[in-house]
Amino acid sequence: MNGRATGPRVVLGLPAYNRPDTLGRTLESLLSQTYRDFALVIVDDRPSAETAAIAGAYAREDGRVRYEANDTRLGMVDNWRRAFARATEMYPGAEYFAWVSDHDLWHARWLEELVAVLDAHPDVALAYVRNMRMMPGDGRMTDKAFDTSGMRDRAARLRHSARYMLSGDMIYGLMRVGALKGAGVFRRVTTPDRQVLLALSLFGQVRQLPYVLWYREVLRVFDVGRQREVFFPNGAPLYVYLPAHVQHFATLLWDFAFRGSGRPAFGRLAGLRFALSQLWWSCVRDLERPKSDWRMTIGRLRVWRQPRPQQVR
Amino acid sequence: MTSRAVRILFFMRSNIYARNFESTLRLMAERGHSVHVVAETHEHLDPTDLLGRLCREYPGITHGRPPAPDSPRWIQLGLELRKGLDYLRYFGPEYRHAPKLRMRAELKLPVFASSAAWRRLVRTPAGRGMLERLLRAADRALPPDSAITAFIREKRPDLVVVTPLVEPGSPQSAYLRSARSLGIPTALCVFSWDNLTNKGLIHDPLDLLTVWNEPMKHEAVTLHGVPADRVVVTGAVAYDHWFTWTPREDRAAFCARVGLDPGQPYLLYLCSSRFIARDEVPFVSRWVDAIRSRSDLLRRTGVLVRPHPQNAGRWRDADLSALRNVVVWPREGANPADGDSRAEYFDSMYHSAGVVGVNTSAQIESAIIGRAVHTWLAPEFRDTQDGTLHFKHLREVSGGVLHLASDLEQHVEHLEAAVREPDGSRRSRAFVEAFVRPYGIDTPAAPRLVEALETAAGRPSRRDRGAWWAPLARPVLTRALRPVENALRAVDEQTRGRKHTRGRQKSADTSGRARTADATATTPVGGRDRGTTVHDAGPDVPAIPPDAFAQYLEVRERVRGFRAADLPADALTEAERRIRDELGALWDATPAMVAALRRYGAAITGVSASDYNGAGGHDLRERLTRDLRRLLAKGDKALWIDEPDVCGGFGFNGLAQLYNEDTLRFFRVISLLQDAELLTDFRRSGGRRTVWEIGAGWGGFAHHFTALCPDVTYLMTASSDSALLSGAYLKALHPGARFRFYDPARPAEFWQNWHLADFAFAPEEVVAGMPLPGLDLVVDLGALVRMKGERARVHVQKAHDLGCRYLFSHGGVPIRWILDRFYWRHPVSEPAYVAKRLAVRTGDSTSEPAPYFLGWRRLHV
Repeated sequence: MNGRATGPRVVLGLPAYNRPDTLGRTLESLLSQTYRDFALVIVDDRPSAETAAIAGAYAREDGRVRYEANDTRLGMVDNWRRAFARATEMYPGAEYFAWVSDHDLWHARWLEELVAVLDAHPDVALAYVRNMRMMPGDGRMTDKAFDTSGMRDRAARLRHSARYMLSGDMIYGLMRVGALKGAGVFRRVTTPDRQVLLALSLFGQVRQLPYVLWYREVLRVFDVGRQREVFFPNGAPLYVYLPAHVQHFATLLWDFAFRGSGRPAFGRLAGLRFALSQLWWSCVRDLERPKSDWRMTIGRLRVWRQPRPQQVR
Repeated sequence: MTSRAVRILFFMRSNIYARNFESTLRLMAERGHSVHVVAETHEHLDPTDLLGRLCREYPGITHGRPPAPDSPRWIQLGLELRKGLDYLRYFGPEYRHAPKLRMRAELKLPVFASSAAWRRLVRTPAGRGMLERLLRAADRALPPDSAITAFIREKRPDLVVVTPLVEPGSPQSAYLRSARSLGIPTALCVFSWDNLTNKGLIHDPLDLLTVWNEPMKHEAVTLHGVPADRVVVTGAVAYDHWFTWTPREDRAAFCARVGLDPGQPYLLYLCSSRFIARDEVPFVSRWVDAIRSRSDLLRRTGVLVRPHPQNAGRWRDADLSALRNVVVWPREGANPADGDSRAEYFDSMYHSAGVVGVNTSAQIESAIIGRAVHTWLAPEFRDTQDGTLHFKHLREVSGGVLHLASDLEQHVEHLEAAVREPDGSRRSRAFVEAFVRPYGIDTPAAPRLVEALETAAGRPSRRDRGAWWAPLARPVLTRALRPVENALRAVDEQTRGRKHTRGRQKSADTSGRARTADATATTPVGGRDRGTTVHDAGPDVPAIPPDAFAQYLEVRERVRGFRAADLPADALTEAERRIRDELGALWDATPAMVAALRRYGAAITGVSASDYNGAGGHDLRERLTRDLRRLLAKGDKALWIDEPDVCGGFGFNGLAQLYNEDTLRFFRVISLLQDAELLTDFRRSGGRRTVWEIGAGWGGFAHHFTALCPDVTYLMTASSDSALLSGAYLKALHPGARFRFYDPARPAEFWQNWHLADFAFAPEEVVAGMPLPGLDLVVDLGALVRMKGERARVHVQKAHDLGCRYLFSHGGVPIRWILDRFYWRHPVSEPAYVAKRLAVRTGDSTSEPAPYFLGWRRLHV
């Protein structure tokens, strides 16, 4: 379906996967947004009669909702990519895009605040909010902060992002469609959110709002093995067994040094420099970070005492 | 008319009253009569010293102070008896729609009005009739004061004149009584046009009563029982001088001097007295906004605001600089009592294109000068426009002097027409001819008045020896003297105490934030009463806010209006019936009870001042302090608001200035709303918002919330008992706030100009149909769970129907099914989160694991 030239300014892509228990509540929190000029595209990777009925009901009542089911299961990475692709196909005039999950909740002011930031700051490519983590029998406000607003130098932004960014939170922020396309959307790598956000840092700043406007369900702890399984249901390619930073380095090198995707913003040579910089600073991060992958791996081998694992969805 | 010179003894309450009789005094002196004016002198009231000037100018006019009474106890008893009679007049049918007048009368209640017998009798017409006869008989039995009688005898007057006489308790009655005992004729010269309707009664027989016009004569006869043949219509002597004035400056010079644009016309806004319009500043701002937005003509038109001399304080610091071509002048207020001040006042009216005011004598003065007088029936002044009897004169006499609009829009239309073609003289002239100069526009009133006084002075008067039974009744009355004296002494002591604590109370309204210093000592405050119920506070009760009792009376009058809408007893739950029974005493509260108003909150929340004492108090203090420390450590200290130390506020101090279980509970609720990022909406600019509290509580949460988020209209729907408690409490805390009470006779008015109200009270009856323009948050602090299921459902459904995004309820399990039906549970009110974030060991959270429900609105129900 083709979008209109005068379509919404914001489009949300919702890659759904078998959560009929939470989908209705999630959709209502999105449709209750005070900012109303948006469309919601649901791409269901495991369609069931129940999910289809819920999504279909909202789609019938509210013209901003579109629902599509995949014929075959794509896996998480491809479904995220498809959500973006379908959303931008349906609404080519949309300026901003955000991925939303099928189980989280959003404050009614979430979109209004983020749109205001992107409208007011053309240098900002991504805006996101603080969140409250909803865990079984527990709830916790996050207090982590990451922000590159005001940093005009791409290399500095990339360095800062590689060392400190909160990719699990930021990936649900509101992004400029053009910047996201330039960054390459989602790549078929492990921790693809981190990869795309690193690339995005080359196209603009990141701004974090101090408000808790997103209620994020967290059911499981991070697990690389499970991620490979979920991301690639038809079998993981061999390269995803490489360290994530190496995969990310390779994608950045390919995109910006060889293909020159960063032009006209920056050239191939700069792309090479950024890819190397990313690799270096990501490794530094891992060396410093108590919860880094290598520490966790060693921890699992019971050589060192295992630190508390990072919790991600 | 008599040809001989007469001696007149003119008792005035103070020298300020000479202003309205200047022309009379001059004429009497010029006609060779001698007038001795007896009046207290207050220089600040009349800095121009009019009386002194008259005395210096005319040898026939002398001035002295009133004599000290010989038996002040009898004088005081007489005052109290007549105050009772004055109060009873306001039960008459003519005052049915005058709640503010009734309220003012209640402020002047006699000391014995707090007795149970008085309260019982005053409830029924028969009881009031009995009281009236009793009080009148007792008043008649009082002897004239020998010192005052001797003073009058020494002066050998031909006539004793008093003004204004009709003050509460009629203190000048003593002069009339002494004069009559000497066989000297007596007269009352009515001071102003509202005196016969707005104040006390005329308690004594008179030989002469002079009034301005026929409508006032009618009032004298019907409302005061003065025989018609003793009433003489003279015209308004107070305004004689306005007919001879001419402008001192031309328009351009005047405008330039006061700061208006001389090239544009201007409207004159004449402020009213404090009783009529306590604070006109926001009202005038709104009025200016309205006329500015009407048309280009009105946008260019200047506005001159003239503060009332008795209420100029409100304007001293008023900032209208954002409004172009608007001038407040004279900002300090000016009493037009001498040539200069009158000339300026006259010029301001004369050069204006039209005059606007709420309800003031200045409107009559403007009519005399020939200016069109405009007003509109503003909802905020309903009680002092249509709610006063004298306003009818402006509306009705000879078709009325007012260009009266029913709403602001129509009023602005009138003004535009007036500025375009300034011509209000025809209507004004007709009114002036009937009301000010009833014998012809060119016939001054002073000669008529002087002639009437001369005639009365020449008329023989019979000596009044009092009732035959009076000597027999006096021993009984003597026994009544001691309780009256004791009660008056107690009132005096209370007044002194009030003055002592006033400074402390002032800060309670504005600086309620916690002092979260590291102080660890905790001491009970204000919780000294040992009783289990708080029906009478006793002498220990701290901190009575200034005017708290007056505010209570005002609220009571308003709330009484929707008392009939209360649900019948069988529709209430047991918990609601218990609350109603415990709050019932508030309908007849004494000042002492109002001083302990806060403690009635125990009927609703169960948090009682008595728990904060003794051994139990010690344990509670430990728990509460621990809880508070924990909450402040985890929460945002800026959200803490102390329990106000007024109206019997109680609790402990130490970590915060004053705290108790209610204070902690409010802090927890506010913290929850903050965690849900709702307070941000209310605290940032972007339009006024509405909060609806179901049940009203005792007013504590409303105070807490509005202290943090002042830019809201806070609606409370409740039974009349609860509305009385919370309304009076909030009024005492926020005397400057704009209160609105639902009036079943004018239901639509309640919802109009919604954003102009700060606190609004309505009965539960209106809930199902209330047409709120918007609703941002609903708060239930336990009212829903006290209701029966269907009533609770109606409330929650109404919140949902009105599109309210968020609903907070402290209702618990019994109503959870209703809440879940219309609202999703917000993550911050999930039991696990609340337990971790806001758990306390004191109070209700221990009885139920998940007492709090914050919901966000479902789209599909």
